Formats: sequence, C-alpha cells, structure tokens
Amino acid sequence: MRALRVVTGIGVLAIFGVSSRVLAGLIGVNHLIGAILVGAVIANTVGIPEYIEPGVNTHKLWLEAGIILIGAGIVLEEVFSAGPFVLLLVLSVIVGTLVVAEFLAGLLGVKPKLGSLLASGTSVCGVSAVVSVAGGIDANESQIAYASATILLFDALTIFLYPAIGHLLGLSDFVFGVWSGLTMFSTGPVTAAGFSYSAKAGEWATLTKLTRNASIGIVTLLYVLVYSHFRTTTDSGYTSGRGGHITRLWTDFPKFFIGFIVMIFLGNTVLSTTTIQTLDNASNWLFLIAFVGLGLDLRLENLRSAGMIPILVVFLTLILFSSLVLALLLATA
Amino acid sequence: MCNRPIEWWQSLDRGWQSICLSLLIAACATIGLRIPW
Repeated sequence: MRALRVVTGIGVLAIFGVSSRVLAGLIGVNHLIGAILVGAVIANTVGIPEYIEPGVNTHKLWLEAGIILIGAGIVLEEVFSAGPFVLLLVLSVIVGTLVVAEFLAGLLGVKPKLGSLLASGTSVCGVSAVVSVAGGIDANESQIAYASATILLFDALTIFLYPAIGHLLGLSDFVFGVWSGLTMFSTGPVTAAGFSYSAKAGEWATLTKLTRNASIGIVTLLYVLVYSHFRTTTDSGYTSGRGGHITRLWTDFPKFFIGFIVMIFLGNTVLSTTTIQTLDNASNWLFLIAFVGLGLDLRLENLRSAGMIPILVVFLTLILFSSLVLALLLATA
Repeated sequence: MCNRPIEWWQSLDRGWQSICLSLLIAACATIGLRIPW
C-alpha cells in the first residue's frame, strides 16, 4: 500500500516535471526554475493530497542521484587547477560565516542555541546542517523550526535572485558557480541556481557546495564540544551527542558525496564520452523531478514562522559574505 | 519473499540509496542504454 503511494507520488513529480519543462520552453524560462515555480505554485494554491506525500518526499533522493551522475562530466584537470584556491575559499567562508553569524546573533540578542542553528545553516548546508547541529546541542523543536524557516526563506529568494544577479553582472560560469556554491545555503537551491545559469556553472556550484557539505560532521562535532565544555545551558540543556565523536562524524557525513567522488574518477578514467552524455541526460531528468519536489516544499506557511531578528542575522551574514566572495572572485578569477 | 528487497532498500540511508540508484543508471548507460534529453 505504501509502495503504491510512493510510486504514485513519483509519477506525479514526473508528470509535473515534464509539464513544467514544456511550459518553461513556451514562456522562455529555464526549465529548472520553471519546475520549482510550478511546484511552489501548486503547493501554495491547490496543494497536494496527503496520499502522494511519501512519493513526493523522495525528491531529495533524485537530487542526490542527479548530483552523483553529474560527477562523471567533471574534468579533473580543471578541478586540480582551481582546487586549492576553491578549497581555501570554502574553509575561509565556513569559518568566517560561523564566526560572523554567531557574533551577530549574540549582538542582536538571539538565544545561543538558535544563533548556533542559524550560523550552522548559513555556513554549511542549510536545513541539513540545522538538523544535524540541533541533534548535537539538543536544541528544541521550536528552535529547529524557527531556524529552518529562516534558512528556507533565503533558499526560496536566492534560487531566483542569484541567477538574475549573475546575468546582470555578466559573471563567468566559474565565478557564478563558485559564488553560489560558497554563499547560498541548501544543496537543492544551489544546484538549481547553478544549472539554470549554465551546465559548467552548475558543475562548479555543486562541486563547491559538496565540499562545504563535507564539513557538516566537523562543524556539528565542534558545536557539541563547545556546548558541552564552554557554554552554559540557559535555554534547554545540552548533550554530548549520540555515540562517540568518530560515530558522529560518520553519521553526519553526506554519503552521496562518496558516490560523487567515485563518479568523477569513473568519468575521468573508464566511461566513454557517449556514456557520460547519457549520464548527463539522466541527471537532467532527475533534477527536473527533484526540483518540482523542491518547489512543492516551498510552502508559505512554513516560511511565516521565521522571526525578524533571525532573518536580520542571516540577511546581514549573507550580504557580507556574498559581496566579499564575489568581489574576491572577480578580482582573482 | 518479494518484500526483502524493499525492506533492504528502506533500511538504507538516503545517501546510499542515491549511490545505488546512480550506479544502476551508470551500469545501464555503460551497456548501451541511451537516455535522450
């Protein structure tokens, strides 16, 4: 019975995906942006029946599978030539964003745990980081919902704003990809913005974002250590985390990153050009389905619970790092 | 009997599921299946 609900939900995603591709072609909008818009409009107007939700909720699986497959088309020489510079930027942005967001949250009177959730969501990988760090520092449900809503609000805005700004400034594929991969929040919106700009920009955006995501375990562990050793438990107690520190690192690590790395090596060694082209086409279909689901998740009712002060903390951090990183990329690339 | 693969699939973390799915697609592409866009 559940299997039927899952299959029906996936079928609905596929139908909406194909329809949005046709519709986007007709009105001259990128098909990925079109898929998100179609999903968001449906979610906020007629809604989707509860029956198909298990299938619709599989959209992150299609996103991750699509990301793994685009690994095959990434040229290793390009990664190695820009790698050290991008890696240095990723590390600087993660540390810098954590410090600035924590500082701003403290300055504006946000409770420590909520501030930490906002800082982790801003610096690492959006809602996944919020949930992961929340588990480590024992944040309560309302803090998680509050921080997630704030991050989702910015995800919803940056999906459309980043490509628009990129086109306005005439950014190169490399600059746009690395910029969005470094400074946008959740993986889905980064991938959508990147690939809606160009295939090359999408590859750089994904590569940069996944490098950021790989630090989720370390950031969570850092918060567990900080909360268990230095911070007082004024807002709801702390925990030293589930299991040992190594277990924690492995539990939080985004496993599909392993598949992405394996696919890069396969694409640069054994896979033929025709096979890589087929995998690229497959990832396009997977993204189309995934982004309809991403749009269906963009429900206004979920965004309304974001408060003004958390929004201000994230907004100031985003503006600061977005402009700093863009200036740096334009000056050096 | 036919529930076992479903149970095994459901027991996997989403990351491993996406790796399995993409490897399956890559295997199909390698043996000649072509997906148009």
